[in-house]
Amino acid sequence: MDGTETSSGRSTAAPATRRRLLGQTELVAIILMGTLLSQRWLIDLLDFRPLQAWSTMFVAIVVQALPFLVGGVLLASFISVLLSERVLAAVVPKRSGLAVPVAGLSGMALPGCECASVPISGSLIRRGVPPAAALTFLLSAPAINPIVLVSTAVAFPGQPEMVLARFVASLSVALVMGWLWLTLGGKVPMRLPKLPPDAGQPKLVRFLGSAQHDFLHAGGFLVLGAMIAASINVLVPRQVVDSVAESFWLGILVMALFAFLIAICSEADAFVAASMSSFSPTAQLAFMVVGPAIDVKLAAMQSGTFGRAFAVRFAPLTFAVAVISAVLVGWWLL
Amino acid sequence: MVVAVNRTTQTLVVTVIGAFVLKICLEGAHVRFVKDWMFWPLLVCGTFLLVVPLLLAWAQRRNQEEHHQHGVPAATWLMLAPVAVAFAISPPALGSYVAERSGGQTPQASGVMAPLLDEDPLPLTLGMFLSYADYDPDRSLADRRVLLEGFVSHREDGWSVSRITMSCCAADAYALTVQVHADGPRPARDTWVQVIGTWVEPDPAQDPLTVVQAVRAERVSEIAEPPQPYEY
Repeated sequence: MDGTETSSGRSTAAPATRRRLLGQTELVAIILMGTLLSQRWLIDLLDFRPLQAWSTMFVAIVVQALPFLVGGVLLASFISVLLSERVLAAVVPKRSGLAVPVAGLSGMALPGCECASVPISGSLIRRGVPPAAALTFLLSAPAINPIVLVSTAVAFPGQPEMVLARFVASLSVALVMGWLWLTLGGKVPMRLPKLPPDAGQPKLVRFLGSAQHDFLHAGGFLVLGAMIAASINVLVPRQVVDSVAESFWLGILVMALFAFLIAICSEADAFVAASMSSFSPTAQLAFMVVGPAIDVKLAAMQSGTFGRAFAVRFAPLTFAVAVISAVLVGWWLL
Repeated sequence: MVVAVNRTTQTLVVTVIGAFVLKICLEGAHVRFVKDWMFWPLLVCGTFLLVVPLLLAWAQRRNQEEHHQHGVPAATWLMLAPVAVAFAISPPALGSYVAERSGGQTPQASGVMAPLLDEDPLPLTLGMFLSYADYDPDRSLADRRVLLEGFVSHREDGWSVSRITMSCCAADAYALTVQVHADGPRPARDTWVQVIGTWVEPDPAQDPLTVVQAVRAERVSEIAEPPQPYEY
């Protein structure tokens, strides 16, 4: 509440929107005030159980992801603005073919969730890291970091082969996608959002400005993905998903699609996979390999950060590679 | 037609999100959405989102106008959606809707079963109750009076006392439910109740995966919703 007051107070002080009588800032402020004032009436009107469950899940996904997204854009901004050329050159191998496995393994070092890795890989590309390596990092960081592996071990007690299978399958997806990008990359357009120009401002201002810029770019798409994911959660009963568990191939496909659509954090997906015990271990593995690599929220964020033309190619390809990798590794290890 | 988000509105959008995150933290409402330990990350994140845009707008007040061409995508407008939804619907803690849909699940067996305490009635979380009911080879729950707390969810043939549990956020939530055999009318959905009763041992011939654990209640009393609505 106090925030709305502060903000609307600011908007009247800003000279940039004065030109029109009612600029968008004022409009947004008015809508916010209106919602605030009619709250009591709205709550009664919208008292409908599925809608309430939807709203809780929607807000929950956004609230859970926000601190990770803020951490991610700060690290991304650090890479974009503050990291010196010398350090960057020392860390990233010159040859792209070699940079891919290095990026894949360094994904282990970032214990964040997938929302953080999109802006980070965007900033790596901006700083001249080969896109193939940055994309490998994008795919490996949320999938094979220590927190994810530990939570997988907890969710599947007494089945260490599941942890190993997840690690191998996810890392292979990241590497295969990186190397594929080396050969096909020239054909896929990638449009990175431009940073605000360096207008001779102090470094700290540029650092924070770039962070806010990245936050706004990725945030809207995160919200869009959260809306879709919450809707799927509320609309599709678990029983419908469970009913195909008997069939091996259909089970794998349904679990992979389910992972794409419900878009849960990679730290939590092992518990959901474990709870769907009627599925084959390979189908459970597919769920855990697809989820952190690509889901509806990530696809939306990628189209915001790398452009729509990129996302419509990269997302389905990642999905296919993840499913194939899960099937092969499942057949080998599980 | 969707309008690109201008600089001042960008400041407004981020500030409002920061205020929103701080508000749910300080009200303690974050426990409806995420696990308790997220309090500190959210507090830091909210403060940051509230303060940084204002600082930036102040630092860049002179070159506001040159920046007009550097808008952000129209999808940025969506960032206001969670704030609007939270105000308009005021999302409650998940309850009977999820419990009735998911039909209840049994938690993973948690290794060694410690002997139950001597108290009577014995207070147990639903997770503990279900673990002992499903997995304890010594059947130590038999003939014990237990005290369970949770919200009411309905089933076709009666009602259950339920609790929502989650591993990360409310989007991966599922319900722990124990059917209650009690006399009298069934309580309204989402009423919080305390149930004192004894375990109804399932027929050993039944498939352990489909068994519905139940208590025969001797007393059901209404209680207030606890500050931490979920159980982990």
